[in-house]
Amino acid sequence: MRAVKFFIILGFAFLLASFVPSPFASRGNLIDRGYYECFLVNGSGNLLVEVSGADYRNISLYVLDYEDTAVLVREESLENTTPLFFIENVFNFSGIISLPRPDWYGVVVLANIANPALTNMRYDIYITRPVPYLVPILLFTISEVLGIGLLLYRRFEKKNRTKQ
Amino acid sequence: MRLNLKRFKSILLLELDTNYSFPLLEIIVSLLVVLSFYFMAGGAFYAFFGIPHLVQSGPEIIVFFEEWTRTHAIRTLQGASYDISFILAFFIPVLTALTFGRDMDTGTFRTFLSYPISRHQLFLAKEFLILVVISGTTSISYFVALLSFEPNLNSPGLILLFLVTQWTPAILVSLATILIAVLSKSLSASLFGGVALSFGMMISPFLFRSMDTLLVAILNPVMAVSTYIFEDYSISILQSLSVGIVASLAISVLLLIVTLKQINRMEV
Repeated sequence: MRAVKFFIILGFAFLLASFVPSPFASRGNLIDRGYYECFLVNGSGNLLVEVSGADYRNISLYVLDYEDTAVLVREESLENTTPLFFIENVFNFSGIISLPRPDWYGVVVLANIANPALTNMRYDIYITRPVPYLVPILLFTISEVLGIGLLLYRRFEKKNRTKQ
Repeated sequence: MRLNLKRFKSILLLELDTNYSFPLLEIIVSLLVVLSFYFMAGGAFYAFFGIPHLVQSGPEIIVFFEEWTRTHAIRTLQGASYDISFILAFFIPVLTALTFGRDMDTGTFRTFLSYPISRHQLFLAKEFLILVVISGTTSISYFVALLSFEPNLNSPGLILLFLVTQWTPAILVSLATILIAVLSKSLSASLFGGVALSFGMMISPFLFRSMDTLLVAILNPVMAVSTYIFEDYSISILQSLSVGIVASLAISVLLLIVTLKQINRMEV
């Protein structure tokens, strides 16, 4: 019975761990015309990205893999890159971006300033890892299955013994 | 051999039913798992730069972020190990005092001595459980957190080094706390003595900044590993670190011998 309790409580510890708050990137900044702002983030699962241009001005968002981020840094242009995800000319965007594998990714923001009198605009961005995390959730499931499985097995055994 | 193992297993089960009765073991394991995971999750998440950059050129930024991403996992592991070692500095003496000190204080240990079991086996079973609870849970949560946040970490040697730096002080502090418990036969003396020793070992390298790396490796090996990483994996520091770990284990063996002699001397 102790093992059952142990696995069930350990499972809940893993569940709690899977909701541990993740570090985040948050920034409100002025961005110049033709200027890219890049966040190199540790993408170990998916990414939750919320970005908005102030005063209903348009922005574009690109997510690049590590190699393409290096190309952007070297060439100072997105021309020779293949973004994994992009959304252009929007007031704001909020969503989860699926990443193909755990690696480092570049999240790039570009201002689309239509008014020629303006040289820069303000934008806000928030990037984080969405919870729950996959590995602890898997361990929670395994632990609970073991605990409940053991409990059912013991009951079954007990029933069989009383029948005999 | 088989009989000995059977006896050892029975003592372990007895210990689990008495000193680790429900829900103490479950709470300790769960707390350690969640806290270790929390510390690992807190590693730096992003680097920010603008393009075109006003100060650095493109190749300079690339060099910077290649270095940053390459060393990120180690830095996260190092920061987390630091935090976890402080948590363990509290947990190890408390757990040891609760299992050994309490038994000595209440006289239960003397009752155990009257049982037809070896004194050495009784001692080793108790110590084994402490080390399994502490080292097992921290190691598991290390790997769970590394799988979750740093899947590209490909330095098993360094991970093992970090784990060893958690285990060696755990062995030393637990044995010292047991010795205090055996000599004083008091729960409070073993508790306060163990906690004071453990935290003293942790903070002494901070108080005496000019302390030799060898001594740091004995007292607070996590800090010595940090120095090793900061000093660009210097061979001389690695040598001091290895000697320090061996010395720490040697002190533990000495403590083990003295404690076993003291336990052998105890009257039923």
